[in-house]
Amino acid sequence: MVDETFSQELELKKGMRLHPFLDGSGIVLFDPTRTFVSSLNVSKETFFGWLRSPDELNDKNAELLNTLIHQGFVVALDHAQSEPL
Amino acid sequence: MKTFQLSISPFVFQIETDIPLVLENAKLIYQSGYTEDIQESTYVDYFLSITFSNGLRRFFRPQARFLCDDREPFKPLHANQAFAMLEWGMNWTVAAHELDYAIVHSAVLAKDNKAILFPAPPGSGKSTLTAHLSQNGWRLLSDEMALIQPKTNRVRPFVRPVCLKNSSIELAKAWFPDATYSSIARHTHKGDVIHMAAPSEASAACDEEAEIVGIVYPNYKADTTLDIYPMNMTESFMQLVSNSFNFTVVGNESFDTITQVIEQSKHFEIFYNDLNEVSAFLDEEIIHAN
Repeated sequence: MVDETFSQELELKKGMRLHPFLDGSGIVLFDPTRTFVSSLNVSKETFFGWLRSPDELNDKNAELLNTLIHQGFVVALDHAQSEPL
Repeated sequence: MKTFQLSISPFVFQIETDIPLVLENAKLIYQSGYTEDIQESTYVDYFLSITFSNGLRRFFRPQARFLCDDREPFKPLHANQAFAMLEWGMNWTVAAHELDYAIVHSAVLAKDNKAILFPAPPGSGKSTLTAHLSQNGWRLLSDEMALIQPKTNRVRPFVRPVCLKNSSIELAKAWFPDATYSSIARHTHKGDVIHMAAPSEASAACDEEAEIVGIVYPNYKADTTLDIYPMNMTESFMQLVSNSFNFTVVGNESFDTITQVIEQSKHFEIFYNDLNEVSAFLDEEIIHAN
């Protein structure tokens, strides 16, 4: 089931770290407060594309994004506080 | 009660014991790193004790207790397992307290000062592989933990004996009859266990860091030829983090360190039963690869 936040743009929660690997195999996300990591086998560009248009994702990728939302890495875009990435 | 120190670069352990088996094995295995001549000027990193349990237990099925300061991380074990318990206790002590390094549960071996990490769960044959390589042209940096300098891809040696279990014990004694072995700790939770002293060249190079160039996840399989699977950086990162002892404590610095190590290394998962094949593969594909 797709999360309700998929109806709007998303962003990486402030303070979360993202590292794209040089071999293009994927990215890792790191929450320094909870020292929790998660990974995705997509490029950084693809990932930010997912955040801009979450409603266009297929079921498999929507589920992956949903997991990141539940893990606290991704939140709904706060336009008032957003900064260029 | 006797007090002795083990200088195992980069740490000094001061240990109290009333168990003769511990003294005998510590002298035998650590040789010049062992001293009973305690100098007040020596900085001691960790104060440990391994002693007989009190009361009737001292005489009936005697048991050994391990303490790090006043903490007792393990249940008492049979006294014939006391030296193995000290080894495991030193591992626990460093893994639980050390914040100056990113620490990964992994064997580390090097050639030409290029190091390969072998993170692996019990049963993967890691220690047998480590023993074999350390006696065949590879420098042993550690059988148990990689001490990675923060925000670099350099690993610090922590030269300790190799812990061999069950059928590997006779195999190692047959392959390396001139190596030095501890007494056997029988019927531990890992089965029968013995410690093989590090080669003297490895101990002599205990302050020489090496550059991490490879990460190999070994799996011993009795009925296989050498199967090699290249891994991508994302997979290897997640596996390395799951083998990290202090990732959750050190946090940001550990994340930076491990991502850096991953990006400057080659990554493989291997299934093997011939140790010479593994050695040749490591040489050609990692150490001497362009």
